Amino acid sequence: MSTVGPELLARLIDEHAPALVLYARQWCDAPEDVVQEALLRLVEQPGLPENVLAWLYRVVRNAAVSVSRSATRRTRRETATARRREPWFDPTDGEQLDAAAATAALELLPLEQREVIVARLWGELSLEQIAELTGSSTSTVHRRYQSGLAALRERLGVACPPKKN
Amino acid sequence: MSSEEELNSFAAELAALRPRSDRLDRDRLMFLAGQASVGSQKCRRTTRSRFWPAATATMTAAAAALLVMFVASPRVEIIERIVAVPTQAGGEGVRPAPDAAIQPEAIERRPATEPRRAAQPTTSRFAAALAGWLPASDGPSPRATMSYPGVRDAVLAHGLDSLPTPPSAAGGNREPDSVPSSYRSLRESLLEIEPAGSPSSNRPLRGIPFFSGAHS
Repeated sequence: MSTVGPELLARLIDEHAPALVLYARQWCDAPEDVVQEALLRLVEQPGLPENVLAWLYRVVRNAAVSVSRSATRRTRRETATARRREPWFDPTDGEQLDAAAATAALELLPLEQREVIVARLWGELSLEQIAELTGSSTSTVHRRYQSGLAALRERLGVACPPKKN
Repeated sequence: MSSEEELNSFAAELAALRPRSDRLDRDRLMFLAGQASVGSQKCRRTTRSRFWPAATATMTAAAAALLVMFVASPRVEIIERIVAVPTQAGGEGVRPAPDAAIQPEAIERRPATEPRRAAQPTTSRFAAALAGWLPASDGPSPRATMSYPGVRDAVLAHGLDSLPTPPSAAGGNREPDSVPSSYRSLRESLLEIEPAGSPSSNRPLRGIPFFSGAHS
């Protein structure tokens, strides 16, 4: 069995670490630490997992949930204040959606829908992989994805293109 | 455009947003990953390298335990019983020296599994010894209550040494140490024990049943 080499690790960091951080941010306030620990655990594995990306998302999810449970001692007000100060996305130009507005709209979504949308759009996982990750059925994941997207579009005020007759 | 396509185009717009990753220190993460990989390899190598010392220690401990068990176990002692049988090699009426009385066939090394019939060659000696041991017919004795099968079993189990010492010749009118081979030798031996003309010389040989009727 091969192990994780430096090339693979560098590629994982460059291509998937931001999405992993965004995914972990859905539960905890220190997502970078969670992602870093997950990558180090991947390096320590004696062999490569069958699907490295799915394995990473599963480890990040478990660690983030664990951190969020241990952080319940903190006051919700402090957590909410800290969240507002940190945008989830890089600043955008005028042609794209506003990053701050997208962050605010995402924060208002239920956790189940938000998790599915983040994993699907930025994590590039398939619906089947998300279903396995969350322990739900594929139809449930698809339904959450659709309803979450619809809610986001409504909150962001994106107008529907006119229908052609 | 269907609602599915509308959602897909909106999803593409959303996916165009780039998640922030400025707080993730890439160089530090690579350094820590290198440390972790070395640590995991060292751990695996340590586990592999500890196998043979552990196996050696286990085998040494087992060998030491076996040695202790061997030393501490009780030893099985083989007892060689030397049976001294009186013979007539020294002449009639002369008791042979103790060393000369030990015959080679008297040293019996009989395995435990050997049937008791193997003691048949010593029947004559046994009969002679028994003849000197059996009590007189007219005198009550505590040994008279011991039956012949009991004496036989005792001798077969423990050898001739298990026979009790027969009564002395002066008290019991018997000669236990030698068996006369003929009537003449028996008579001469009796004459040596009892002086001629003594009142007891006319008594029958009550100690030896075989000769008890021949002398009368």
